[in-house]
Amino acid sequence: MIRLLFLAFLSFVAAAPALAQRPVVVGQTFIAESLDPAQGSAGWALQSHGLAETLFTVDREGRIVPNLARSVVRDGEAWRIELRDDVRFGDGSPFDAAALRDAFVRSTRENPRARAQTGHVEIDILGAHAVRLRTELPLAAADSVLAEFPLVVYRVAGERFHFTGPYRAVEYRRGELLRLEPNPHYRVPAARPPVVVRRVADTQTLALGLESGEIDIAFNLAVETLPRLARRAGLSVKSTPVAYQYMAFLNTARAPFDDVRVRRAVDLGVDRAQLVEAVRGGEVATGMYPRFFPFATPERRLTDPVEAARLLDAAGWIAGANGQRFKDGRPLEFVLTAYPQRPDFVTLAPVLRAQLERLGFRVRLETSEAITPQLQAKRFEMAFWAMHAAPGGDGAYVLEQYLRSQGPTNFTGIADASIDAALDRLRTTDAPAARIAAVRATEALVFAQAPVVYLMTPVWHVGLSARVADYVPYPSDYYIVRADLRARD
Amino acid sequence: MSHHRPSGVRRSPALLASLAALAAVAALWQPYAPDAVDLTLRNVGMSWTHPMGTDHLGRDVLSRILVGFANTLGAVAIVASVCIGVGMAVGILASSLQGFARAVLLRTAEFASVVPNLVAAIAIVAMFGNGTLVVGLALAAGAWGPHALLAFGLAERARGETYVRAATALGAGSAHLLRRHVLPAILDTQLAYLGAKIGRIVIAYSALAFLGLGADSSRPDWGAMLFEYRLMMFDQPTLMLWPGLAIVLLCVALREAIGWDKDAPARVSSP
Repeated sequence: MIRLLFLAFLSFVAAAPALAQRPVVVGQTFIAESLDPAQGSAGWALQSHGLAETLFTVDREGRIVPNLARSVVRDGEAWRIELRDDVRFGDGSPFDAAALRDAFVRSTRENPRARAQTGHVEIDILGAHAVRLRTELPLAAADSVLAEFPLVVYRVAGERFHFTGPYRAVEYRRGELLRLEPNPHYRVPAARPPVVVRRVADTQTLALGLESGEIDIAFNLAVETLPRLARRAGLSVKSTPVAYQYMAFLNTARAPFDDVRVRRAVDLGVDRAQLVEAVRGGEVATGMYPRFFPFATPERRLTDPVEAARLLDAAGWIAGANGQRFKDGRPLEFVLTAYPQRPDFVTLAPVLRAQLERLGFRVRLETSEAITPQLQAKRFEMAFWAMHAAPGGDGAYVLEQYLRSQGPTNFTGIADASIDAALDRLRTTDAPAARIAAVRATEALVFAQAPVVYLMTPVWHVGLSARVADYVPYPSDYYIVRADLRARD
Repeated sequence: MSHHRPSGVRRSPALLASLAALAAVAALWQPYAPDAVDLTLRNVGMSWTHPMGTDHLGRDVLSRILVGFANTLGAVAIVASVCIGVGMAVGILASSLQGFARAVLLRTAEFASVVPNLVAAIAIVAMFGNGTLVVGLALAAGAWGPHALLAFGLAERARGETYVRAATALGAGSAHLLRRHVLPAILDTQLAYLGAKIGRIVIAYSALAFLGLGADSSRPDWGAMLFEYRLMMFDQPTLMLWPGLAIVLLCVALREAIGWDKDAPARVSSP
């Protein structure tokens, strides 16, 4: 009997650490498409999962601050970067100038998104923790570019990727799960809990997972699930304005949006205040950027159905008896594509359709599980899109990526010489006030062409179990798993 | 000379006609525009102005249910027509042929029978797009197979009956045999079989609509409503109740209209 009791005691002692190490389960609608940060937008997700970091980062107030770098200063036509000397990768190897060179050269060579603002780069090693960065394209705001996700820092060892973030990957199942353990070499030691990031595509499942205790952090809950969660003891929901912008891309290569008058009519026909009301939170868009960014255009986008109707008439789309517009016997119709990874779009799609049908459009709705490939292949007419408007704290990034004629993610197909010329000027504009003016001037040109209909700045809702009740969401999904994550166990 | 048809098929043309008429009206008229958004009328309960209430965007649920009814019945009618029409045609043709041609028809019917209906329909709609006709044909793509095999078996049996052989000996032509003896022997059983599975056709169509592959993904459909309203399942359960109830009621009504009545007396007819 005594031996049995002793064995039971030993089992308990052995199990105790395991119990204390119960992982924090993060449920979210996306997961890194790859552990290779040079693949598409994987760098963003890897940053969000607490794995990868950039030389500079953006704080909660949207300011660019040093992270793995100490400073970046102009050095003639190049930039001199001083690196921290206390950083190690997850495998224990040091982060130094050579590691930075290898990562940047590889990323800019293999990922068009990484070289959108820099072109190909050359890096001279000036010391163990100092480099000179030379870029193919003119670079005016280096700290901002170095804060963008395509330029995360990593080390390739065989087929494995090692990062400098507070966590390191233990198990990765593409499209499904990422198991993380604290990075023992992280420069700020602390008792961080292990984490499991689960992709939960359905937002109802996400809410149910939180209710059942399967999920601790439910990121980006659908607004329709909030009343129910609010009634559950032990759960909390934190709603936070984010630096994201909701918009709709118009495919300028396809009818009816190959006509700028039709695009502008859509822009004027959207009642953004109603969209905000439909998802019970957020702000009417002023343009590409949330209003709190200094370079954001200050005026809200206008709604003017009368002018929209005039533009459609001028484009030859004439309203019939039932209000539906036709031209040469063809109806004015298009497909609006939403994607469930952003649950607000599922709510917004029928509202936007109703608004545009009042103008005489006929709108069919579709939902796409894989929106990015569809946009890249330009198999869409009008598609919702959500993106961080300034991941590096500067306005140039998204303009370069999405609206330059040869931009790597120019989904709308817009090719406008005046926009390209404005972006060229932005590349060489250093002074902060001048950059703000240049960004706004570029945006005005975009408004005139209307390849994108800016909709609203959202509020996102994060559900928390009692274990992580102190968790404070960042104003974006770039930093969900962070160094300050703690669990009450 | 007489023969017994072992069937007691319950048919209710009046009920079918009523459903068809109601669907036609529902397609053309609803009390409100089914997609009109009015955020001041969110989640309004049942009332005289909105008998089924409104949804989270202030849309009238009854109007949406009516449009869904028209879509669903239209698609089901296409599936049923193909099952009976193509199924019987292939089965009877195979029975009247020999050799390779018969084998080809029967193997095709067998292949159609083993194809998973919903999976095939999803693939077809994904390839060819929406539309009542496309979705109906997609669901019928595999559904006609069992009907053809059943028709073949029944036709073979009918042709072997002594009264048919006697009629043949008396010089009756193929068309006469088909019209007078074979078709009557087959049709009741085909309808009874259709009645037994028509509920599954309704549910299969709703499943397609749930996946966004209904007749018109931009218009209300019962399955699509279930998908959209599932987020409000606990807070506004009636939003899911109405389309769910509509599916059940349509299944029951169609089963009543075309079904096997086990208590009906066997009918007797003379050739």
